[in-house]
Amino acid sequence: MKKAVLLILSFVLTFTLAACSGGSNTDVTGGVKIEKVSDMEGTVRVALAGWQLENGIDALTGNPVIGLNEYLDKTFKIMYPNIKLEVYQIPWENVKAKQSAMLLSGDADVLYTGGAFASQWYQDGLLRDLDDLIAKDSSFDPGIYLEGIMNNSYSTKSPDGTKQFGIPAVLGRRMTIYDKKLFEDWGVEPLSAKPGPDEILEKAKKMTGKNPKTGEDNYGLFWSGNSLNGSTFVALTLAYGAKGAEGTLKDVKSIKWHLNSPEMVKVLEWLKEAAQLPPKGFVNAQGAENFGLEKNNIAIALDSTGGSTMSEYRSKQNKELLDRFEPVMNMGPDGEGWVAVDPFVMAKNAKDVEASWEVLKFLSGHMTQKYRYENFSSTPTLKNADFVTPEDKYVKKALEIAAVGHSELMDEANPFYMSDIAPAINGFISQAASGNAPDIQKFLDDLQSRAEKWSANLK
Amino acid sequence: MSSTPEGKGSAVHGGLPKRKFRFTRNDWMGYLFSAPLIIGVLVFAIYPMFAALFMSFHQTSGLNLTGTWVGLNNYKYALGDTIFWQALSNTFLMGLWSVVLGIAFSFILASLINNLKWNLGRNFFKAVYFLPNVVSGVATTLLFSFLFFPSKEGLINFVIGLFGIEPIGWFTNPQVAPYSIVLMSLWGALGYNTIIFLAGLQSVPRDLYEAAEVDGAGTYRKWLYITIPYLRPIFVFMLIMGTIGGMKRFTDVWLIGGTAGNPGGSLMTVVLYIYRNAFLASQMGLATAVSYLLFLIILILTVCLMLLNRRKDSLD
Repeated sequence: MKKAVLLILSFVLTFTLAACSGGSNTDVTGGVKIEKVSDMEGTVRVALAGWQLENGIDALTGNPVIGLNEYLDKTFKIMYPNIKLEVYQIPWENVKAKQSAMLLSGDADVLYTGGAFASQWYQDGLLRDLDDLIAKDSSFDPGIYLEGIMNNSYSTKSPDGTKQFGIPAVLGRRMTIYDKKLFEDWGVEPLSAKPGPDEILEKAKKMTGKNPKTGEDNYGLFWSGNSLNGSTFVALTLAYGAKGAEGTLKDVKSIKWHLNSPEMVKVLEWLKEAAQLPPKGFVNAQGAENFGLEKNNIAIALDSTGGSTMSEYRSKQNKELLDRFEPVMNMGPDGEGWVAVDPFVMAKNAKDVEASWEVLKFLSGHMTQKYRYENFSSTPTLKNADFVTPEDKYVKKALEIAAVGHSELMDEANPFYMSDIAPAINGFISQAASGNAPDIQKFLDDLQSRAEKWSANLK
Repeated sequence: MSSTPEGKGSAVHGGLPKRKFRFTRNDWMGYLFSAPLIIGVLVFAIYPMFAALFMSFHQTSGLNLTGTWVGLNNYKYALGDTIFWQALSNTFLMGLWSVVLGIAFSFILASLINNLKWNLGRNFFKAVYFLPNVVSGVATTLLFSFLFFPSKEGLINFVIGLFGIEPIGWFTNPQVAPYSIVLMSLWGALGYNTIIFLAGLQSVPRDLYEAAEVDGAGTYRKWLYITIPYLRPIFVFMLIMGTIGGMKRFTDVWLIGGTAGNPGGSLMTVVLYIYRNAFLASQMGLATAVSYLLFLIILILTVCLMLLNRRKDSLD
């Protein structure tokens, strides 16, 4: 009996191990033959926020994914056999504190991080300008990156816009997506290619209530009511021309605040009306769990990614959903919105600058962006992202939005925006959702006065 | 660490021998063995405390921790900031309810478990009620965000809907959200508090109960006049630890309400205010100043609670 049990367990173990072990014969270079590029020597310490190092399985699609270690073995280590890489993976949770510690203690040369963190580190003097390295490297072409994020983003450029400290590697996806089926059920005209806030609000209002065909509760609109960076608010400020402030992040104390301008009043009036339309849980970013899927009951989602629809397509080849959920441009006058950019940056005191530059260039380059897109659906930052599949209309739309993107002072790189403005707006939204919106002018006057007081407190 | 043996080499002063300290080889060995711990405390506890105090008088920008000296400006700014006071008020509200209900429920629960005659059942309930304590705060928050889903699809709202009650905005209604947080934290902390009370209950001498029974005391009177007074040190301990924990509330409110402490700022706590300024706006000077204000508040509360307990002692 004992023998039989042991035998069965051995079989189970063998089959489980065989089933779980990933194959390593997958091509990561897309057929490109990798050859040695340079004999350059050096050791580079790379700190990556959130990158997966080992091979594994995509939790959503069930498809196998290739970890960075294998990718580097098959590419960079062949191209630069004498550059030793020490790669540290840091989870996104509290990544700023951890990478800050690495920068202060001189334990990292090249970092991949959030754009706002990079911007703050640059202002703290912890990052190195890359202009000299770019200038003397003829093999590096800055023109391959999207203009708007390479040259006009706080995540890659100094606050005065004169120095380049980061190379954009991954783009955040934020676009307006609508459900064609719900529009048809309600007999509402589809959204235009660049719908402004008024068009969105008007159509969303028509589709809130009992669906005339299915009888289910429908919600006209959704956005995250507790967004850390208030991206929907940023898009609205662009749409209504409410700048909120004038000046530069290089001299935060001199920023002139215009938070109680008539344009800003319009932004808040829009938010007040719109807050009645989403599911109640939106104030805590809940309620849109089914958006992009079969059981969806939300007509328009702002700052959406299309991630769940694409995952369904990748795992089940479900083209029906792909046709149903249509992306359009964001709410700005040219279709722009807030664009998140995660760059690669170099530590001020990088030990081996030349080798670090080669690593940084490689990890933010075309081949790595292709690898990241194919394995982790990361949105590229390239003008010509030829590897994006024809079906992936969400990434294409995100690239269109990024191409017209620009950073303003209502941005997460602005300390008062992050500490006070975004939370205050989120608070306003939740009050409006519960039908207790404060008087808008008074609310904005208070915010303006807080901003002025904050600036006055700076030395 | 040690003195010379009495009389050997010591001067007699006013009839009492004056103790003369001299390090012996044993003393040095003692210090050597204690050094890792002492260095650890100095580097990781004492130094950061003083560095934070120093930083609170500076205006810092990002990681430039040696910013411009601004004296008490950071303290003045925080004390004049309405959001700080709102955060403090929310913290007090949630802390108060968490401590009061937490102690009351866990004491009642511990008493019930302690009175079980069946030993296996007692261990079973101890384990069951302790289980939530091993679940991380993040997992608990995620679980409750689904249990407390604001529409009728949420489990709790579905159940109350069976009794004809309209869905409640557990985490979306500013009037309800702080109490939902209290309920959630009760679930998480009940087991730990119960185990502490249970240990205390089992240490009450049996002869006190026997003497009370001889005098004709019933179960309720024994509980009221023997159990509760005997457990007073444990109550004080729970009160102090609960107050400190309540004043430091962060993870759950941050995960539910984001940086705004949504809904309507009702979940904004002092530590969330500190976090916002320290890690989102990189204003370490302001954040450390508020940390010291919080430290002072907790210190005052703790001293008051201890004084209250001492005064009670003297009455006894």
